[in-house]
Formats: sequence, structure tokens, C-alpha cells
Amino acid sequence: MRRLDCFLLSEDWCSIWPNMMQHALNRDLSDHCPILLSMDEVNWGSRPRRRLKCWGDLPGYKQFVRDNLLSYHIEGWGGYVLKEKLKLIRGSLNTWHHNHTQNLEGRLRNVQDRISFLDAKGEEDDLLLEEIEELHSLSVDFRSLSRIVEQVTSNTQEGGELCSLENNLK
Amino acid sequence: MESINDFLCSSLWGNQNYDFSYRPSVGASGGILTIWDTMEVDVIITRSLAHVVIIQGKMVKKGADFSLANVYAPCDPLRRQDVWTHLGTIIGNFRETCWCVCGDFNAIRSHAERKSKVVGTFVEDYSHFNQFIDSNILFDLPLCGKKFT
Repeated sequence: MRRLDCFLLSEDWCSIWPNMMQHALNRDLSDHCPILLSMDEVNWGSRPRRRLKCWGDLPGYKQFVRDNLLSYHIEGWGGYVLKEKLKLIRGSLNTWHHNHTQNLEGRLRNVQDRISFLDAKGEEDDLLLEEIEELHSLSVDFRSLSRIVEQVTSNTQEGGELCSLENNLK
Repeated sequence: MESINDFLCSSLWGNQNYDFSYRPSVGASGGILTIWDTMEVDVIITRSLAHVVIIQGKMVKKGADFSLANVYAPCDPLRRQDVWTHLGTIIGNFRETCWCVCGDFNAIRSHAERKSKVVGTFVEDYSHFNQFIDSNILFDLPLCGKKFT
């Protein structure tokens, strides 16, 4: 295998179109790969990835990102590898986000119901040690869930790419 | 690709805003075809020389004078050297336009651009192709997506 095909450009050409990229595409019938020289000035690359601050609050987020980034095997120079990895993690994070933001209101309601149940029980009777601990962890859950709901909703209103979440919240 | 016609080009291009220039193949190989978008590119001259099709004109939107050489270099190193010399002269004569030289050069620039199971006595001469690139001050952009073509 050899690198036989390419675009050679003069200095003037490079200064007129400074944002050029040379891509090798997948080959079909030919024994050569087609090469694309793109010089689209409006092509600033992919849209920036949005990261919600509340993701960090969800258990397993950091591990998920680390595991995913390590699982991709891409060859090439550093910048290219980084770009491709970010592209791949984008897709995985979308799925992850959907899984973690499903039925948020229902989950919030469950936590609320459980809290009021325990509160009511505490009014009548002394709570067990486990129940007091549960109550503490429920309030933590409640706070982090409400933060997620808030961020996801405001994100949706900005017309971001997470608009399908709106349907999840309804 | 011994003869190219409008029907073939329009099916390749997809719409009617195109023009083309070609060099017929000799037997099964050596054919070169350049098609361009007439809304983007105003081609004034097309030249056909051995193993190269050159188009020259103006980029409509940028107003820049350009020359584009589409190359299908021969496998034989001596004949390839002739192509570099000939093309180098033309590039020198039209230095005031910006240049793009593209295609299948049938040559590589260094050992890193080859991967082969055969290790042995065959030593490829990179110097002529490199000399052509350097003396005409051309740039080879890094290739994204694959190492080999």
C-alpha cells in the first residue's frame, strides 16, 4: 500500500483558501481511494459539543467518559485522533444523556412522595436509623434531580440539540 | 475512457452547470478527466500534454487566476521524470496564477508513504518527485482519514 495520490498546492493557492483539508475517502471499485480537497470557507468544523454541568452530578459520568475515550482506537496524528475521539464520544454521550434523563418528572415525584411518606411517619413515630439516613440521601437526590430538570429544560428552550428531551419531560 | 462525452459527464456531475476536459486512455489506463462547475470556475485555456490535463482560468467568486494540473503519472521512473520536467516548465511559465497539481503521481515522497511485505533490494528513488515539489514550491497537505491511497 502506498500513498500515491495527492493534491500539491502553491503558496498562493494556500493563502487564497487557507482552510483546506485533504481527506482520503473509502474506495469502491477502484484500487485507489478517492481524495477530497475541501476548501469550504463556511465549514468551521463540527458544531461545538454542549456539556451540561449536571452530568458531573450523575453517578458514573466520569467513568463513562474515561472508558469510552479509551475504547476508541484511532490511528493518525494527535490532532486527528483527538477530533475523531470527540466526534465518537458525542454520540455515546447523547445516548447516555437520554438514558439518564428519561422520565425525570416521574422520578422526581417518586422521591418527593417517599420524602413526604417518611416525614409523615416521623410526625407519628420515631424514625429508624435507616429511615433517617434514607431521608438524607433522598434530599440529596431531590436536589440533584431538580438541578438536572432545570438545566435540561433551559437547554431545550435555547433550542439546542437536546430538543427531543422536551418530549421526555412532558 | 477512450472517449468521454457529455452524457457520461452529466451523469457523473448531476446537473448541467459543468464543463470538462479530458485526455483519452491508452488501452485500459492513462485516461484523465477534469470536470468543473461553470458557476464557480471560468476556464479559459485547457492543455493536454503527456500524462497531464491542465485547466487555467478564474475562480468566479474569489476572482483569482488559477491553474490546475490533473496528473496520471506513468509507472516507468524515466518517463515519470520527463513529466516532472515538462510540468515544472509550465508551472514556471504561469507563476502568477495559483497552482493545484493533483492526481495519481505513481510516486511517493518517503519510505513512510509505503507499506509492503516485500523487504529487499528494491530501492525506490524519491528524489526526483521531491525535487519537483520543492523546486516548484508546492505544498503537500497532511492526509486525513487514511495513511495510504
